[in-house]
This record gives sequence, C-alpha cells and structure tokens, in this order.
Amino acid sequence: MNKKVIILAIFRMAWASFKYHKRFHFFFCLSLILIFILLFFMQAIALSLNLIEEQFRNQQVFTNIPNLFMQNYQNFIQNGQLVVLFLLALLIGSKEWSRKKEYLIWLNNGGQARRLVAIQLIESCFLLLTASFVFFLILVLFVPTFKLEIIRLHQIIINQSSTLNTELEILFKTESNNQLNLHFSNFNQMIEHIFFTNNNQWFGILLSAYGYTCLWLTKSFFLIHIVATCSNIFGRKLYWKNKKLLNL
Amino acid sequence: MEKQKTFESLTQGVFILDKDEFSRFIKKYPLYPEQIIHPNWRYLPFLTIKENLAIDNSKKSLLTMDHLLKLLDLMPTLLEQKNQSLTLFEKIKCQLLQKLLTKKETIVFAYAIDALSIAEKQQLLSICERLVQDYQLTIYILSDDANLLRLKFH
Repeated sequence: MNKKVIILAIFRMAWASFKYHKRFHFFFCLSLILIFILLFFMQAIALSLNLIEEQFRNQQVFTNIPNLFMQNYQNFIQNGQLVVLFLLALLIGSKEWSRKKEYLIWLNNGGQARRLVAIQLIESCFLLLTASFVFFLILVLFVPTFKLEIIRLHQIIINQSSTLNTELEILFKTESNNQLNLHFSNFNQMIEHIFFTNNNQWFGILLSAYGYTCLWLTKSFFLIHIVATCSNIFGRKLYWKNKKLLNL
Repeated sequence: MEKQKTFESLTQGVFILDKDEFSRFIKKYPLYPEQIIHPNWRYLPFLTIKENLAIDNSKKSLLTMDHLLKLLDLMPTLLEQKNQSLTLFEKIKCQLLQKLLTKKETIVFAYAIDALSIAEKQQLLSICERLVQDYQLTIYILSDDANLLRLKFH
C-alpha cells in the first residue's frame, strides 16, 4: 500500500478514536490541564526567580542568603517535577489500561504493533493540543489570579524554611549598608513590589513559562507514552501466547 | 487399502476437528491470532467494517473486494457501516473476507460455526470447499457439534 495512504489511514483512525472516547477524553483533558497548571507554576517560579535574585545580588553582607534561597527553590521545583511526572505516568497508565481490549482486538485482527503505537500517539497528540489550548485560554483569562498565586507560592516556599525566614527577617530589620530595608519592611512586601511594578517583564515570564511548560510536558508525555504503549502491546502479545482466546 | 487421511498428513482441504485433535494440532503447528475466526468477532467500534478489515495490511490478495463479496454473498453497504450489530453469520463472513484479503493460506474456525443454522452451516461449508478448490487453502474447523464432526474430512 502507498505510504501516503497508510499515513492518512492512521490519522483517520486516530481521529475516529479521539471522537469515540469522548467521555474518557474529557476527564483525560481535565487532568492534563491540572498537570499543565502545576507545571506552569513550577516554571513561572523558576523564571521569576531572576527578578528576586537581582535584589539580593548587591547585598554583600548577607552572602549566605542567595545560597539558602536557591537551595529552597531547587528542592521545591525538583519535588514538584517528580510529582508531575508521577501524575503524568498515572494518567497515561489509565489510558493504556482502558485501551487494553482494543489493543487485543487490533493484534488479533493482524494489525501491526507500530501502527497501533502511531495511532495512540497521534490521538494523544490531539489531546495534548486540546489541553494546551484550553490552558492557554485559562491563562489569558485569569492572568491576575495566576500572578497572585505565583506570589503566594513564593511566600510559601520562603516561609517553609525557618533558617531562611530568620535570615530574611534579619536582612530587612538590620540597619546596615544594605538597600533593601530602606524600601521594604519584609520579604513579602518586596516580592509584591517586584511583581506588581514589572508588568512587561511579568507578561514575558508568563509566556516563557507557558512555552517551557508545553515543551517539558510534550517531551515527558511522549516518552512515558511510548514506554507505556509498547509495554501494553507486549503484554497483550503475551496474553495471546497463553491461548486464552481459544479456551484451550 | 487406502491409508486414512488425517489433518496431519494433508496440506490442503477442509478439516473438522474436535478439541483434542485441535490441541494436538496447535502443539505441532504454530498458529497466529490473525488466522483464527471467532464466533464473537471483536472489532473496533469507532471504525467502519471496511476499516476494521484493513487493520491487517501485511499481505494483499490479488482478488478484488467485489469478487470476494460476491463469493461470500455479502452486501457492499454492510462494509461502510459503523458500530452496528452484525449477525453471527455476517461476523463469520466478514472475518473470512479479512483472511482472504490478507492472503492467509491457513484459516481456523474456532467454534465459530456451531451456533449457525443448518442452512448457514451448509452455505459456509460449500464456500470453504470452493475456497480450497480455487485458492488451495487449508481450513480447520474446530467444533463441538457431533453432526459436524461426523463429516470429518473433505
């Protein structure tokens, strides 16, 4: 068969499957949007860190603060990414579990495993595109809310470490040659100031965070998906070897 | 005296086997899922019957779809439908059509025809005989039906 015809047939099958599993896909997209939001916050926090770091850069008296600060954020982002990866694997696993009968039908009818993988990946591509588009709309509609939540997250991360919290309190209370306590009475006030006065930079950060989120999620999503689909197909082939289908 | 024919000594024909004979058979000869015709043909509900038949695109037969539809007495409109309820006989014929389209030389009916009416069984057996004569196929019919097992080999 012509290659072009096969590719078209694969796309048609993927689209038909995408339309058929509406109910499952609705929940799948919803979960994917939640994962998008989680990851977006991680990326936005990582990107907005530069703005805060600039404020500390000239404070030579308190050299240990930037290190403590970065360590705290690194822990938060790494743990967050692990949680996102776990949720993503769980989501893809649920999709694979719901499709195991279809895989068996495909293999029993003599379908090639690689075509099945292609169909599943294309279908998931539609899902990922839908989720990213819906998330973009949510982001555009609720920019102020996202901004407030990012500020709150910064405050939560700082407040989590008592050492850092104490160090920062000292920084803002000590009357030495540092510039910070001339403008702000505490860290929370500083963050709010940074984030509300740099509107242009903020929009750039949100857009970059969205881009990085899409990129990171696409890479991880397809990597996990390929592994999960191949394992599932391999499992279905083993099932056939047991000859349960013939009741023998 | 002519030696009795067994399914192990023949390469072409229609063979009706019981469960024990079939168990012996699959120990000797490897069988692939795509060679088997099931009574409950499971197909992907989001695809048309025609697309389901095209799932296996490994080897394409030289026979045309029209010719095979005529041979199996199937309506072309049936293939364009999606998610409809097929009768058992139609399911069996569709699977047979799939095997013929993909040039399978050995076809196994796994308890597929036991539940058919006598007229349908006769029609299917005559189709099988014609396929063996015209296209040199090997067809195994796994059955629990005592009347059918009495026919044994053709």
